[in-house]
Amino acid sequence: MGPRILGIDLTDNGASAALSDTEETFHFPTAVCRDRKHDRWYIGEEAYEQALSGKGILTDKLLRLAERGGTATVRGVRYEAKDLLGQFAQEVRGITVERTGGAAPSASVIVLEDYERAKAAALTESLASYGFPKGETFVISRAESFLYYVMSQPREVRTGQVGLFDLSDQSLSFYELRTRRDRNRLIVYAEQEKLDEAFTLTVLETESGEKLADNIMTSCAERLMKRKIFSAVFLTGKGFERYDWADSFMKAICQRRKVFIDQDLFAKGALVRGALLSEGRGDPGFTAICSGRAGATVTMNVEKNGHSMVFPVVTAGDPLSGAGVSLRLMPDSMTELELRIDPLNPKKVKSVRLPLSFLPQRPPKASFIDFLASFPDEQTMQVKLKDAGFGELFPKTDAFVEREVRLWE
Amino acid sequence: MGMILVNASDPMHCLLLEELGVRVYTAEELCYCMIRYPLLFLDDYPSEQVLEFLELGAGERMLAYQLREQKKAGMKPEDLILYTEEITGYLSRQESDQLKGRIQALRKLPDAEYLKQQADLLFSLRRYGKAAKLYERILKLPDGSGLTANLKGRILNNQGCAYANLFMNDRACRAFEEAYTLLKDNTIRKRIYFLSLTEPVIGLRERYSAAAGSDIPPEWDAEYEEARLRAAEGPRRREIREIFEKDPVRRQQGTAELIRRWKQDYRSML
Repeated sequence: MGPRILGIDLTDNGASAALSDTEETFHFPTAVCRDRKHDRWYIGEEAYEQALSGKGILTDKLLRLAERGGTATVRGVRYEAKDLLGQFAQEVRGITVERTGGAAPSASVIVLEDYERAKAAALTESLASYGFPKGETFVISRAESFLYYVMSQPREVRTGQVGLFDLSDQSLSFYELRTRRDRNRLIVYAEQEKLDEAFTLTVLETESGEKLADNIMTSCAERLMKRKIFSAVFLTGKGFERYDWADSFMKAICQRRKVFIDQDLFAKGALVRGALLSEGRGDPGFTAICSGRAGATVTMNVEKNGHSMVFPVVTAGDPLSGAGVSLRLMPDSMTELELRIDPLNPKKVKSVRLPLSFLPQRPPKASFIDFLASFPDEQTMQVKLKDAGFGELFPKTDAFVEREVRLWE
Repeated sequence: MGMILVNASDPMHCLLLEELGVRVYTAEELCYCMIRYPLLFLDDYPSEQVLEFLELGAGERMLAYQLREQKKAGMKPEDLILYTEEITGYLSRQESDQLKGRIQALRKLPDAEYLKQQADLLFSLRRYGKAAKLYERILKLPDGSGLTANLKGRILNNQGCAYANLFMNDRACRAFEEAYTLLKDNTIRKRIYFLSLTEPVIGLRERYSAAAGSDIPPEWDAEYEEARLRAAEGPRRREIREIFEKDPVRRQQGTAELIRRWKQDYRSML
């Protein structure tokens, strides 16, 4: 039996939580309420009930509030939204463990819809004080969760491309997963596309609204799946809690492929990912390229003690949370620094050359350069070369060159 | 060769190269100094300080160990310099051969000429005190060290210049007088004359003037005046003027800093 993992799919509207050793899943609106009289916190539906009965003060939409650095005053105390979010996550964890029994989870994986490296780092930082220790808490994107979820399914599900429609209130996304072999290595790409056709789910309350929603979804499916071979399509989100309104959409997607509905797909994907992370099994047998993962391998040729070597700046599929390089180089007779970018496709390998003309005039081999590479997202690498002088012999200047490099299209 | 990956260094264990007046923090900086100024390293490379720096400061523990062992085995400093350049990857094979050629050429020089080159290097690095002492040592070399009359004259001339830079005019004058006796070069006489012009002490000034002789060409005065004007308008003078244009508090701070720098500069010359 492996370690116990907690997976939480966290959005601004709600969170769904699952534990790796039970089938049960839990859903909570992303809201907290503090009791007016006692030092007690309620979350989810219970929070709304307490607030409606006047027993407490409610704060909801916690994720967006925390991202904006907002605050909320409860019983005269000013709370930062990130602390309220931490409180919420702590309660989710507590309730999930309490209701399923057993030991506390040894690792937690939190899934974010709009993954950004800085956002993920801030969330990890703020949750650390609420029972989510840094080394045991991982933040991944929904695309990554979807990718791992699909890869954990039987092979026949993923013989072609795999699609996912995620429909919730005023939000509609399509995820697409495809695989490719490169030099005997399986590469799995998962991408998310936010669709402009999103609508409010209250339209499903009337017959005409249902027809309209069905038409919208059908045209989306036809457009997105045209000329592609999908072996399976998944449906998730509040919009698919019932699907009797979507006759023509279902007809469109059910042609020659399997269709699954799973409301907890992202939380389950988090459990698959968490099992690999917590067991230290870094290599799942494929390279995952998705939001939150480096989209290409970047290398440069360097010399060390007289020997040439290829220095990896980042490897495709590496988590962005740990990606980034800072090192010191000394150009010999070169006028530029060359980076080789391989998006795991031999036809799309490219070179990026950064001129070293920004360096002040100095004798040969008497200049150091500080090389800094960071990865704000899976498609972008920011490179900065700074003049580091040459010790006390040639003091450093403020000269630098900066470049944003697109890793893959 | 292309882009060299530099080891992370520990600034707590840097190496002070006294003659150059700089601290080095990486093996690459040390290699650069050894190529540029091999004469400063040829006598006792690697010293214990260098080994400690390579081991603890530059992250070249293995290289330090190898150098220590090879030194114990009696390997020559020049070979150890080339070994360091090669192991750190600072020089290509071709560049290493060039350095080897330069070092061999230096080693082939007679003792007196080799030491003069060392002393001249110290002089060019404004280490006048050390240069003057080394010139003195060359003058005391036994016969057969390659100390010809001409070389002796040139050494005395350079020694005089070193003393003059240290404001030790009396010693400078004596060195110039001896050099002039050997070389009969009017430039040396001109230097004695210039000493007489800068000397503030009455009596000494007249002595230097007498040593320079009576037939002073008028262009020497013009040359001296030109040099004086150049100094008066030079960057140092400008710096002083700027300090004295400031308000009293900043003026005091500026002068204190300037005097501190002059003192430091003079100490490093000794």
